[in-house]
Amino acid sequence: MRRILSLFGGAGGLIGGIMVLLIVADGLAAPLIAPYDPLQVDMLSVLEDPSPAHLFGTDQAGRDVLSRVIWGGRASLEVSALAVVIGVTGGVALGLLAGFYNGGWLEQFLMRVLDAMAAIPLLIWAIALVGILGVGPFTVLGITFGNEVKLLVLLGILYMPTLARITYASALGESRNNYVAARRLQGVGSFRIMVSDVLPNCLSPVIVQATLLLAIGIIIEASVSFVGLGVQPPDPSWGNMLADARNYLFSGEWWLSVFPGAAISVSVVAFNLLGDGLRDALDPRHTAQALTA
Amino acid sequence: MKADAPPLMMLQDLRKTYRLRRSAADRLKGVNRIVTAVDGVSLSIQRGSILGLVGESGCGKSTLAQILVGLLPPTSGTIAYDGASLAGLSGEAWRAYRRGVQMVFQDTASSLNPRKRIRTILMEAVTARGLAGKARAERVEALLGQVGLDLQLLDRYPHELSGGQRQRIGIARALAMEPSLLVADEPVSSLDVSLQGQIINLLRELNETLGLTIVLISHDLAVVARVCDSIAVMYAGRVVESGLPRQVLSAPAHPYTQALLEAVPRGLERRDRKRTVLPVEQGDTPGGCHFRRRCLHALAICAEVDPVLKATRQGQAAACLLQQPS
Amino acid sequence: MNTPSMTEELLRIDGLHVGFRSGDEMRPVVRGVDLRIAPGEVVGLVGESGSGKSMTALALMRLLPPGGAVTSGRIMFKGRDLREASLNDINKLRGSQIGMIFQDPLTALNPAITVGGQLTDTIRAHQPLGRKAAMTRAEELLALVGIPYPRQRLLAYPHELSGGMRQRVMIALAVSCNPSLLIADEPTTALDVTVQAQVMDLLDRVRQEFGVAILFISHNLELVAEISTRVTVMYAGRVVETGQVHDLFDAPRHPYTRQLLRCIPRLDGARGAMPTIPGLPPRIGALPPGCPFAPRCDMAEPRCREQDPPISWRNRQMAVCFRANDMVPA
Repeated sequence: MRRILSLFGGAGGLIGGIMVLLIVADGLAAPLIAPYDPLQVDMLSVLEDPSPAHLFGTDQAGRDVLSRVIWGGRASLEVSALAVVIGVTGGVALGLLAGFYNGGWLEQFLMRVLDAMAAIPLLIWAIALVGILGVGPFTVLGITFGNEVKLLVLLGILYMPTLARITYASALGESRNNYVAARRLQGVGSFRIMVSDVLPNCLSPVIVQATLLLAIGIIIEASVSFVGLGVQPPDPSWGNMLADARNYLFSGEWWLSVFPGAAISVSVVAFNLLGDGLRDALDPRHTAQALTA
Repeated sequence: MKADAPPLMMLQDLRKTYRLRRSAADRLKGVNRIVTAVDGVSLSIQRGSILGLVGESGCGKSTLAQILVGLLPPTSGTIAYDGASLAGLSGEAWRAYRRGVQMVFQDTASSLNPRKRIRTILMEAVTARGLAGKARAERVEALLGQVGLDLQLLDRYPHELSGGQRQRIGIARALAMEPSLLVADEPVSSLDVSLQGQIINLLRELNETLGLTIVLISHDLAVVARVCDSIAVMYAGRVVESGLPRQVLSAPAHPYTQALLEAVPRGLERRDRKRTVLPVEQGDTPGGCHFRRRCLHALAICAEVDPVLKATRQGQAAACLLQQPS
Repeated sequence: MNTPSMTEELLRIDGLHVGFRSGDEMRPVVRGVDLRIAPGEVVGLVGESGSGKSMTALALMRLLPPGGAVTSGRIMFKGRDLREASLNDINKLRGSQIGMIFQDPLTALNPAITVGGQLTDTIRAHQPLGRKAAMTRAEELLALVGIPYPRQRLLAYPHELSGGMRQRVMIALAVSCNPSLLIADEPTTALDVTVQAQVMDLLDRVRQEFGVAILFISHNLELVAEISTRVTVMYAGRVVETGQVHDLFDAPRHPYTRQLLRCIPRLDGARGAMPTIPGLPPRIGALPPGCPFAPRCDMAEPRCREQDPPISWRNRQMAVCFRANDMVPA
């Protein structure tokens, strides 16, 4: 038990981890656990209070809120996770290169590129993107992408500067360590050293940041849906469910906003707990051994 | 160790300078800020010998070490390895040099990749040397034996080992390349005195059994005295004295070496300590003899002429105008 | 000749135990240390890594790192038990009565505050001086510790100074309020030999000028022998030997001291293999029963591994060993 606890950096991390696992399981198993079809309209059961038949009530089109929350989780997670994957891939690559090949033109060039990427705020990009590609599925090179792809690619790109900087800082420091010099003395090529020796030592802060970005992604998805960038109705996402629920905030149909809102909050807390726990687990453990000095 | 055999490495007038960042005012004035880490060093390293390189921080010994192993290119001067100048080397000859000159580092914690097990670290080294398949594991075990470590360490991570054990792994890793020259940069400074001998003795043994040439860099004169065949004292980027340890340490010719010896604590001998304490170092390195501002015997001429390393009576060499007949 | 009077002890530590919390256990790092310092005396505390010497000093000043705690023992300073003192009282003591010099001056000095700022902060914390008066005092102190151009240096930041200079500033800080005890924890370890000589020289001058007692902690026996009048040797959290410095080093009564002395390379020593103490120092928490040094001792007997060795006194020299009287002078 102690082993598991230390792996997650304490009780908080473990709880966060379990919660994240449940959320992911929910997303994966959506078709199996949702009691109703989230898109099924039933104008006879509009805006019903939560009841045994509809545990979370129904929305303005008679659709079961519980099923929509379950399916919505899948959509929100998909966007959030894929964005993080894109961000990590690009960010780590850029940061690693800049940090390892430091001192030259490459470092300066990459840092300035990152600065440029970080300079423009999300909303401006979002509006511009919608302006160019319109709302709804789009086709590039003969492949059709769903609307949410715009968002997750955009988010991924916007995550890159942060992740790159974190990686850059680690890479800069680690590249100066003597174990890198020792590998050079063995005649090993620079690129190989960068990937097999330096990269593994740069990942812990990135992993921590990535879990936190997962949390942020869910919230961002919720907030840009009104621009037309998130998951488009009738497909549910926690974000667009909240956006729809705005009209019913003061008219008494509390279940339309509370359940998706709670789902977002719980997920954000879960990812944050996990991220904090991982941060504690991954870093001081290795340096704590230095106590024998 | 045959003195007439050609030296394994020859350094001629080696120089390494760095350009510092300039402030706006500097740029306007056209001032170049240059730091000279190595300022005209000429050394020859005899095969099979142990050379001690001694000096305090900032003297350039670490920079020199990095140039020796090829991690830093010199700004000017020549280095010859096994008779051939490094400048022209490429392909197989360069690779031979690369393998042939290896280094052991001072900080054991940062010299081993914290995320790799000892087995991985050594296997990588052995693979880099060109071995493959089963031969690699055998060689790794042999290397561990050579440095006196137990096989069970293979599965551990560096932070699970003691400083001394890590240092031995560093040596094993270097040995994996089958080098002719090992540069040991302060290999025992971070270890307890009672354990330093284990590493130093290991190096001696390797020198005796394998004929491994060693450059031992240390600030500890006593250790160097014990183990080295010849010694070179550095100050401000220059070699100020060189020769046999016995001579240099008992009858130092250069004022800096004299000051260094004066400064070594000898409380255990219980001498009445009337130490002449060296005046504090100030400012940039002066022209002429770099040591003149702190030297008790400095003359006016010391500011104008760069002293060159020349032989003194007993066979050591000192870079001091006072030692040379004018 | 220099007999510390037992009635006016400056510092008296009895049975100090310090431990580190690790999970549910308390790992002992200091296991029953006694120490005495008389006013104006210089006592050396010698040991290698894992000996617990630094922890003893930190415990004294209540500066143990997180997780560390004094588990038992008495720390009497000027007749007062420091363990009973409030944090407020300890703060008043630190700096004004007890000064401390650490090993690495770069991390011990605040990088964001000028040298003058740090000095005046300390001075004004313990003495009712105005800013100008404190600055003047700071300048005097810098001059005292041998820093050239002291007035300009007041405006310098720690990173602008060399290692030796920073150490001098630390000494200035430590003596700024005229303490009765100076704790120097490996003050010269990070310094070059010539700078080390300068700092040791300064410490001696400071002792003469201020009459301050010094607890000099180091793994370097040569330095300890140079500056101390009495020495205590620690191993694996325990005191193994204590006595007058030259008596102890000329004729050690504990095998660890004797074996350690053999390892120290002398400049005029013969060439050849360097002696070592075989094995490794014990890890905290994995301590065998009996004498902690027994596994590495060249004089160990079976009882050494089973029972705690007794305290043996002879001619004011104390060794914790069954065979203290069997030692042949080195």
